[in-house]
Amino acid sequence: MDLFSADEHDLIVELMNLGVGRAAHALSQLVSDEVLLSVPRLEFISVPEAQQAFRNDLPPFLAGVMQNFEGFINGRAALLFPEARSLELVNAMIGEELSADEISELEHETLAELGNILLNHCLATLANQLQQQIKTDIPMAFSTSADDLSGTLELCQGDVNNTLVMLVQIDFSLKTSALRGYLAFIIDLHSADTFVNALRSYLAELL
Amino acid sequence: MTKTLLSLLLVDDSRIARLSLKRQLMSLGLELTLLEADSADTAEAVLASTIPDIALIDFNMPGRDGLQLAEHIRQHHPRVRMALVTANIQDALAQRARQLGLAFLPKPTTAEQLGAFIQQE
Repeated sequence: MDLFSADEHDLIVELMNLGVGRAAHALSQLVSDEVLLSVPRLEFISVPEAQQAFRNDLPPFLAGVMQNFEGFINGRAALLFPEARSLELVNAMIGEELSADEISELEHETLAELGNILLNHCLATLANQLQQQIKTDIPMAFSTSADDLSGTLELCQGDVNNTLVMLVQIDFSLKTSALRGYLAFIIDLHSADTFVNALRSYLAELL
Repeated sequence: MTKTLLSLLLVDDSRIARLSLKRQLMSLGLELTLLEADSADTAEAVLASTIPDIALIDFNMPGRDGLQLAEHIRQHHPRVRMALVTANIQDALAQRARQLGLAFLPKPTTAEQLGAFIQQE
């Protein structure tokens, strides 16, 4: 998709880098461990391409959090982890004196709060840098399979032709355990004009 | 750290967020009475019987948001010191919080940040 120019694409990567960096700092405080990040790999793809990418690239079973946002861009953000590893994160955040049953019981609530923090750091950094405002909804945690992910994210319920998926893949490495996390931003293209304008204003000041 | 008797109201729809705040607060070694609410409505019900010294308020909650609750508290209980505790680190939100006289504490908080806020005059 060539909705964005090369400079605008670079700028989005740079802003996501900044947002994810801040999110990593937050994650490192939450799990009391050093967090190393890969450079985000960013792709803009259509809904059918996203469905294919989910099936091809993601682990078969996922734990995740999704959060709607609206403002200068509208859409839905999702944070995804391999389900088998999500309990490790929960354990790192709240573990210690809790039993395995208690940790399991709190898994969804913990992931929701984790997603709330990480997704908000990314979206708020994007808004702050572009001098725009964005409102985020209450986070919702879920478990799903890669095959069913587009259904869980309600990818096909809106206007599919006017929906763009910004898929950001990031490798998280904790000192004690390595796991891969994924971020996906499903953007309503009806709001793309304000997004592009905000990027252009930023670039005009920069260049 | 000097022992102080203070009451705090923690308002957050996430049980995990409240648990995390409680752990950090307990680690400060202060003598604290902790009250909890999972929404603005529940917070108002708590405030009907107990007025805390300090309220730590999440922004993004079902129903009324944290700033709407803060406005209510400011109006009815002006002596309560408040901080907005949120992962939404947008400058515009921080500015709105400060205009209302709230401190702005980004999530995740640290015990040091909480301690510094609590011990402010």
